Amino acid sequence: MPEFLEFGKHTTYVVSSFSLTMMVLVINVVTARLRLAARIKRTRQRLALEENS
Amino acid sequence: MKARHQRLIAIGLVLVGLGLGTTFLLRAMNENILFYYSPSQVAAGEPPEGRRFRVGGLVVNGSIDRAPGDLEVRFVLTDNAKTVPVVYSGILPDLFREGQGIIAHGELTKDGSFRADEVLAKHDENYMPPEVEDSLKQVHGGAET
Amino acid sequence: MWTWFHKLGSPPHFYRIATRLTPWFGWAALLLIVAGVYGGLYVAPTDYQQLDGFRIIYVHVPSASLSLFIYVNMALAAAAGLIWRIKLAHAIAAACAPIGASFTFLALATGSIWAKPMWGTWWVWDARLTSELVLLFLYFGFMALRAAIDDENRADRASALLAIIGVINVPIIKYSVDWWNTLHQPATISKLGKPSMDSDMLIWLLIMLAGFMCYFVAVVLTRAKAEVLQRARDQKWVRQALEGK
Repeated sequence: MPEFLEFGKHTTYVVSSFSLTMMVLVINVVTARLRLAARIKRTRQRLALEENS
Repeated sequence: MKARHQRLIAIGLVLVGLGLGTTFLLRAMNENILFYYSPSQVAAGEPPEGRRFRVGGLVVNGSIDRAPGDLEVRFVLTDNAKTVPVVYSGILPDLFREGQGIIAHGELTKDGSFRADEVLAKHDENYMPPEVEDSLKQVHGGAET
Repeated sequence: MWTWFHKLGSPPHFYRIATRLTPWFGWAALLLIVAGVYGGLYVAPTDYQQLDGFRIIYVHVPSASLSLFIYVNMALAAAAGLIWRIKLAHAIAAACAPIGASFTFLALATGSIWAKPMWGTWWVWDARLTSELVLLFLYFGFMALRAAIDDENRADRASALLAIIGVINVPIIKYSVDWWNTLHQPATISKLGKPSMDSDMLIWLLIMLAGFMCYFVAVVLTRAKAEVLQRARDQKWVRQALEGK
């Protein structure tokens, strides 16, 4: 464990709770953005279809 | 057919969710009425006999007795009125210390002491650096003496 | 007043505003959270009892606050959708649920990690912990209900009802530590009275809380945009929004 991640006898607990939190925050952002991108793509396809018909 | 099927699933899910929720809530409330007994209540014989229960109180200063080379710890819990001696062998929480609020789960033995198989620490909502705590102590000590 | 209300409820207007606001909240969140993590881990002094272990508060308390804050928002949006039949409000409620669920999960998980060394157990069935677990099930129930019903309008209405009923759990969670004898300690920060925390420690907690709030706004706007697009019928504004940027 690098020195900046040493928190006395509670190192494991502090590091695991902080990293778990950051992981969940990142996952939330990524899924939200992927969802929006997928939705935009599908809407574009729908619009193109409607235009042709 | 399909729509009705889905409606049934939806209603079922809601019912299961609500049921689960109320069960957990009732369970929590139920256990909380008896979450722990104070040493005074134990002295008065309030906890049901022959059943396991929780006792909560403060660890009496200087009462912690640890046999060398053994996990067994003896200490006394108080509510500032009555006391209960507790015997426990196992790992103690970090916050376990003299004067700390403790909740022990176990049963009374024949000699009147409480044999615990679980000891939890209850901490308060105050957070401060050690220096602040020291100066607080000094102020309080000075005012009282 | 009513024009403002109508404008707010109009999907094109919302989509435009959301697109403009999201980066601001996103960057503010990143800045505040980075500052909060750094301050909480390295600048704030150690606690007199818990030493470095108390630092978990910087992720636990904001997660727990947000889990409640988001639920109230979700229920309000759902109620507005139900009462005034605003589709946008339902879209926002739907966008709230997964974010709220993830913060509830974080509150439970980080609380458990914190409880192990300090209390001596990963979990107890006390009123605070149990009611927070019920909150997680409420979020899951809301999402499951939406997924189970194909028809959008009916899914909106059914899930809104569930969200509104579930609101009773919010005060139960908040006041559980005062009403019942719990292992969990009472609140450190409350609206009335001064917080039971040293100001050198408190400042980073408030920064973290602000960061989490901005984060929530940024993510919920992104999710709501996807929901709005999914519900869009009138293709004129959609075309404008997607192409005429």
